[in-house]
Amino acid sequence: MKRLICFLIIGLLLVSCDKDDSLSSADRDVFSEDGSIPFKELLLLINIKTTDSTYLAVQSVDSVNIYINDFYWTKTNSQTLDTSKIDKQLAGNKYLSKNKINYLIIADQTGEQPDYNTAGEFAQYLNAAYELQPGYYACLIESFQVTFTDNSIHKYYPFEYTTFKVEQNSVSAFAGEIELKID
Amino acid sequence: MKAIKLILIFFICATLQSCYKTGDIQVQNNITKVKIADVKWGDIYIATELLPGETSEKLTICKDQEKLPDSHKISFKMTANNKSIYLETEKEYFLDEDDNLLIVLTDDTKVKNPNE
Repeated sequence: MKRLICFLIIGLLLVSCDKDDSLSSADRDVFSEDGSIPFKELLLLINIKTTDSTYLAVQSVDSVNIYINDFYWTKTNSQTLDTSKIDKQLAGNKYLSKNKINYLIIADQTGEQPDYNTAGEFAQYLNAAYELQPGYYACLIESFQVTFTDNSIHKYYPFEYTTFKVEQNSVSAFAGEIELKID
Repeated sequence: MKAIKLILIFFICATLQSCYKTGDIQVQNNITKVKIADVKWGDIYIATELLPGETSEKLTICKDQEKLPDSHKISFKMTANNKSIYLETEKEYFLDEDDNLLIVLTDDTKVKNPNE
């Protein structure tokens, strides 16, 4: 009989042990419910051509405003270039080169982290998230800005389009090269 | 006879210890156009999933689960548009013995992603 009581006590102790079902840190970011790999980055090259067929040489092209179809995608800077190695001439307050200079843009939609405080704001954010399914899309460079040698900042609105294709389960796509014209 | 008495005493003690009612808790999802899942008060599981407007079943907090009074944040996974994010309330919700606590999560409830 004592054995039976012992078994009962052991059984009760085992039942009272709780399983830790807390979420792992990996579950704490925004993720896709169906397990599909969401599209994240658009890669493109831009060069800035002047009216006399030379190319602008700057360290980076800043605040590039990008739309995909009619949806605002991101505002980002190009990757920085070391212009000291580039063959260029000073023309007024800017450097120009006869050779084409491409600037790499990595346009990541999640580049701008939401700074939300309420459940309603997060709900709106999730409902408004624009997920690119496989297919063809139009990319619009709405505006960008560059800083010249005298530290003056100039903003341009080229409104140039290019197209790109999103493949199934691909996290990025290359939209090609875009020539942006300035005066 | 002595053994039967022992067993009876054991069962009475076990019953008293296993779930002595201390407090009730419910969560209502009043957040617009999202469902919430894995709803917890501290480490205590309240609901698997709550649709917009749905209220969880009343959960009795047993003494072996939590020593009351105590206060905890509500954590949950918010899902909409096939996307989810893990959130927890900034506020802690206080539950005392014999309380009947209904926590209503609305659009104005202050929350944060613990990763930020």
